[in-house]
Amino acid sequence: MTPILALLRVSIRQALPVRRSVMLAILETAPGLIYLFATTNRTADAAFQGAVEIGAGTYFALVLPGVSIVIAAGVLGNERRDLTLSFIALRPIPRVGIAATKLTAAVTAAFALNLVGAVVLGGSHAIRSGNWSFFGALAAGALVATIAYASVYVPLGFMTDRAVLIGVAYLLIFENGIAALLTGLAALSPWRVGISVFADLADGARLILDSSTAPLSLGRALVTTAIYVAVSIGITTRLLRKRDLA
Amino acid sequence: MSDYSSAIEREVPTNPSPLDPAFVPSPTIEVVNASKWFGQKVAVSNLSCSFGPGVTGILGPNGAGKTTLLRMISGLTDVSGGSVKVLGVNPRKDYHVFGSTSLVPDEDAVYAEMTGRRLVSYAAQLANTDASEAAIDDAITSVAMEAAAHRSIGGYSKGMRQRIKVAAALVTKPEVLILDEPLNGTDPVQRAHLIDLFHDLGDAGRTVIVSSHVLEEVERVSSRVIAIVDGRLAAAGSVEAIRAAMNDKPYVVRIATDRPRELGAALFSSDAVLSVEAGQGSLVVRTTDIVALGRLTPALASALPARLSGFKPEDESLESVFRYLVERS
Amino acid sequence: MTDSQGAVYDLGYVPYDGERLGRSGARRTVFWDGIRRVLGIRRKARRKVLPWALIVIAVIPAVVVVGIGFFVPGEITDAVGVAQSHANFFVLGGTVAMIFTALSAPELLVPDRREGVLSILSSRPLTSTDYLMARLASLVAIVASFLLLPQVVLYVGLAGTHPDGLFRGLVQDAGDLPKILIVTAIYVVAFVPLGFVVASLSNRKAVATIVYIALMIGLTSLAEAIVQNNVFTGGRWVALVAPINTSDAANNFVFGTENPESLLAAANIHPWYGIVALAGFGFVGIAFSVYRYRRLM
Repeated sequence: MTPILALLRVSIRQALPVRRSVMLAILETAPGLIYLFATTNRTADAAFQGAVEIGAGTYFALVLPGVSIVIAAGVLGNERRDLTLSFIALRPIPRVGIAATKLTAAVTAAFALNLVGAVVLGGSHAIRSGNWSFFGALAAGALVATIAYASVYVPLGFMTDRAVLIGVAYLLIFENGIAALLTGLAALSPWRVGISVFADLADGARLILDSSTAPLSLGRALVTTAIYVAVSIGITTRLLRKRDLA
Repeated sequence: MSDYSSAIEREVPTNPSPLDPAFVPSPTIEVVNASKWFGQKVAVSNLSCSFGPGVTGILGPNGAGKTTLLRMISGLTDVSGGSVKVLGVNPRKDYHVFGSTSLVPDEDAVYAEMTGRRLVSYAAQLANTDASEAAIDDAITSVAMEAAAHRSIGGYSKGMRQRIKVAAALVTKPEVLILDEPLNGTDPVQRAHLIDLFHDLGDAGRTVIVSSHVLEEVERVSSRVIAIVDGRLAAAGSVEAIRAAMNDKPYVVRIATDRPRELGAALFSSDAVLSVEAGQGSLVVRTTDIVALGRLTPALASALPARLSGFKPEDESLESVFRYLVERS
Repeated sequence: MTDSQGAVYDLGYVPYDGERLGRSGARRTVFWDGIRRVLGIRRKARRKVLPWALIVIAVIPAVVVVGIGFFVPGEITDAVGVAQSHANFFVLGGTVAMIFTALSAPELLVPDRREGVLSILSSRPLTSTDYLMARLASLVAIVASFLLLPQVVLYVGLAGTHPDGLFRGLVQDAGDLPKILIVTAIYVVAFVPLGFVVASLSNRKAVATIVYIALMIGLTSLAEAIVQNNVFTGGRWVALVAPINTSDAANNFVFGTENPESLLAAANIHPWYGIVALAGFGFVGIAFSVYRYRRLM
């Protein structure tokens, strides 16, 4: 097995210890369960509207960011805090390779959990409406949002012990507060990047979501995500090169 | 015999004499005027030395800067001043050199959820070296961890963790092996086994650096010692050579004789003798010139006459050297 | 000194023969250590930023309201009434206290487990229950202070705006004091035990914080969805599982400012049931934490 693959495999496994994964997976089911209960006696149109609103308000705005932040902040951050960073850094692996691999591990692990939420919410909507395409749009949007969050929080988790706290404050104050009012700042809200992809892929979702919630087109969202990834790998690489690793 | 008292006042050499004991003729590691500070705290100050094939012990009290020096050599930490070269390159700039080096850190830098075997395998995979079952078995056997290798590291004792870390370092077959306090937590049998292993590696031409604050360990592990006190190079060379270089520290010699008081009175008149303490069957002499004392003693004993049955310097141990270096700083 | 067999040297060592504080001393030590740890006392400056910022966030609105009351006497009390003011500030204070619990419960419990300190504590005259109760007391003391501080500012401040003077104001509003204490206890019971359960299960502080906040918000959303949509028979009792809603409803009940749009009102459940449910869940939460730590220490 090549060094990169070995690093990827172990990093994913470390990001998903059993007890934590179970706790976070249970959390992921909340939007779907809330949707199921909230749309018990609704028409198909109302059920779709409920799915979009709960998807936006609960899944994309709270659950997905929370899980992604916890996973991403830990892939490098926990190595530094547990003093195992020397084990991977003092290897003949290019720093950019370590940075990209850790980001990939964070995305893979976080998306595995976020997919649980997408399955439960999408599946709940399919039960109500018989329409599975909603799940596809949700999963695609979740993947993009996960990539965006991981891109921000992998280097932040390496830089500071407080990355998750910063993430919670950022989520509650900026993303769900300030950015809701100032759509020009939407690109700085990773979950809005994801939900913009969802809104373009789920027929009729854009009619329900306002421009402050899904402000980007599909193309702009994907370009924004690519920029997030490039900047993240660049910053992480520089940190691995310049910072004392112990 | 180098002059220690003048040595510590000398300019730190940029083109060192090949006879300077801090340097070796064919170095694999060169440390030139290296300094490291963390804010206001200077951990290593203008330190120059080199390491080559064989085993070198780094000795110093707690907080002397040994770990910081090893981190700079291994590439974990950058220098604040000066330079470090490992196999001709700066380890902070060229990651390829990590394929030829291995670090066994002092702290518990292991994954508790992995088995010992898995950790060794992971180390081999990360270094892109032979990760076959045979290679892993070899590494595990070399540290006598066969029985526990299948258990998770979280259940290991401190000594077992140290040994599995050494196995993970050895599986990559490094040319340079850096070990920070590797014998911590090991029992006497494990310690002897590891010391033999380090000697074998040194004899095979690898550069092995072992740091410790336990004098007995350093004495047993290595013949060449680099002593660091307060972040500075305090002494370098073999234990005996360092002792010989300490001109301003009087020798303490125990002379066994049947007439200690008479012989002591006779010796006391010599300028080379600072003090004499007579006991039963022996006397303890402090002298600045052990060679002169060695010539004088049999002559005086013969004249008395007195029978001499022993002449032994009492402070050539590393402990007395170490204590002297620390107190002097 | 002889040079034949051996000698004993008097280096001045004297064994301690002073007072031994015993178990109660150990408990007090753990309690005060918890207070200092959470508030960042005797720690680096950056450890103080978050807790003291939250304290300021909790107190400033009360100061502002009192300030308005001084400039425009009677404005506040005429508009909303004293009781409503206290009840409203408990809702704000409760939110801050919840965030504070999310940050502090892991800070109190996780590091001792991760850094292997529990084994050292076990070698002292301290049982696992003593340790946990002392940590619980630290958190309860601070969270209660969080909730009480703005209430005290409000109580004294509003009394100061009384037309007959401060003393008359204090006497007139003295009936609110036991209510303030009761509601403080209700919020503490609503928030702290769950924080302890989550912190006793997670090995990472950050994960425990996120899971706690998510549980508090998630239980509220779930309960609202089930109750408001009458999902299944008896589903209205799920309203008792939402600590935020239940504590707010109990708060309004105690101050006599009931909100007909609250979740308990929608579920047609009397707030007394809410108070009993909070006490029951709190007891179960603490009992679970004690059980968990008996296995660890």
